[in-house]
Amino acid sequence: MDLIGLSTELLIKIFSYVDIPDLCRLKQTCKRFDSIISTWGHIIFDVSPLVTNQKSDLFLSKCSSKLSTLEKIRISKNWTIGRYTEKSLLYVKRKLMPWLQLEKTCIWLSRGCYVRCHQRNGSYVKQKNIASYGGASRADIAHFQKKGNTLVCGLRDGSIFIQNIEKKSSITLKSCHDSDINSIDTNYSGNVVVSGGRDNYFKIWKRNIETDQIALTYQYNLQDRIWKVALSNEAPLLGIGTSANSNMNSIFINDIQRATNILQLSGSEYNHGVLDMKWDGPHCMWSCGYDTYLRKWDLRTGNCVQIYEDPHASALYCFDYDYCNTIMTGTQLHGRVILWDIRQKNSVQLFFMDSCKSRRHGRNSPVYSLAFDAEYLFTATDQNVNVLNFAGYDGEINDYSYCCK
Amino acid sequence: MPNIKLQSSDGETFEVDVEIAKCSVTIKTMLEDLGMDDEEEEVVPLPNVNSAILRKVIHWATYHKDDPPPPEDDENKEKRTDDISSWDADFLKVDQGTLFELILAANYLDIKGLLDVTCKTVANMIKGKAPEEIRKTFNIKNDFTASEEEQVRKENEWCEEK
Repeated sequence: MDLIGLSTELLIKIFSYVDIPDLCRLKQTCKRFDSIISTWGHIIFDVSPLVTNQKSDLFLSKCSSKLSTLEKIRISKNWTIGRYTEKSLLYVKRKLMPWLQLEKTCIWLSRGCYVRCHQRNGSYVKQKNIASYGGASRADIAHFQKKGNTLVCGLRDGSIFIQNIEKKSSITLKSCHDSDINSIDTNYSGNVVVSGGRDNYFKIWKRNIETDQIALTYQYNLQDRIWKVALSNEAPLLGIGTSANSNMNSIFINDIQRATNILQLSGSEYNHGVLDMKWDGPHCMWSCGYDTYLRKWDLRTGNCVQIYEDPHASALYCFDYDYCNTIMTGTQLHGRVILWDIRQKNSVQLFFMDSCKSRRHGRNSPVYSLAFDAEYLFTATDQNVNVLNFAGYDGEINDYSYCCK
Repeated sequence: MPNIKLQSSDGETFEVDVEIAKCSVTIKTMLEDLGMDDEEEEVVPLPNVNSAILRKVIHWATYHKDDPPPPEDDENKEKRTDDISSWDADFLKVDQGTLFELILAANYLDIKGLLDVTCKTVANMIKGKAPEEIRKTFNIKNDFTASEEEQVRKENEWCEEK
């Protein structure tokens, strides 16, 4: 009787008592151990590493691959120490304010008056787009949201553009707002559209999915420019983020069924306008903005329950969340992205987009939009889309963690 | 105290206190399901355990008869291997063949305490060793080709970095 003669079940039990480096060494001894540890890693030990944990199905659905446990630990370490290779793609000469959205096999990118869909395979993004929407109105798209088969876009001339991707039909609705529509959102079934604009109004629209026509059901003037609208996926609630110049409060939560405001939230005293916002379940919300803070709000108490400050005191333009323990924020200057482990106060790592380091490409671009999966970070700056690949074995190490304290 | 008889695979019979025998969940369930009464002179056959190993198992169970039941496995708890009692460490100073037979017996008889401590002992023999040392310790045949070995070495290099 020897070790190799034991059943897989018993080997898993034994392996669950050794440390991670020992598992890596066991994998190198013979094919059977290699395969057991690769296949049953999640039972041998349960981990929630930063970025790569893939605990949330919502997050996993946009990851290009499902990682084995040891791969999670290896790649998470690359994120933490800043080991990656970078590529700048889709360069444009004119400086624009892009927005991007990541899916498992493609990225959606708005620049100028178009939203384009580019196929991706891991970090590889095809130069030529597979679909291009918009352009009927020459106005720029300020923000878009793609959910299921619906693509909704808010334009700078106050129009709303809606594309039914499945039916290949689209509609442009003029004069929905008096000026720029800064933010737009829709629900998964696509029958509710919300928009918020520079004209201080947020508006709720009912969409007929057959005809794509929308009808205004509710509007309200908040006396402040609206930067962000976000519909909850789990409750009939709408979050509205404003510039908070005239109001004390920067976040408004509205019940869209009863068309009433149920909560107002306020960050710091000055300049706490909200630029990006995401729901975290039906009761919590994350926000970031001008005051350089990333905040978590608990709507049941109406309090800010967690707060994180940008180490370089920059406005935070956008963020993405893995719905577990990782947030990355895009900042106003130097193409800088911050990696946060929400279990700790200080940030973990900083990434500077390479394309913002060269004089030719303008070094000071904000990160207008970003999205990440377990292995790759995608950012949209004024002239480029940058892809950082953390899955490799031999990327260069750009460790700025000493700046995070 | 009432005794019961356990019969090993090679036909030897051991008379054991029922309470000690019941530290094996397999035997406990068997006694409950079959409704064996204390008066009856039943023999419980254990066809998967030979007499040498059964003697060791009974020795272990007798020493640990008053232990509290072992805690349930907690997935989030860090698994320690440095908490083996000195009595158990001495008890498990046996050749590898016996150690693995004890693991199989503990697994078959469902004695969690014994299974935990034997698996921890094997884990301690693995910890800190290089792949070649692990192979030598457990007599594992390297079945990778040279290129496969290089590949798997490269894939796992990261864990050796400080």
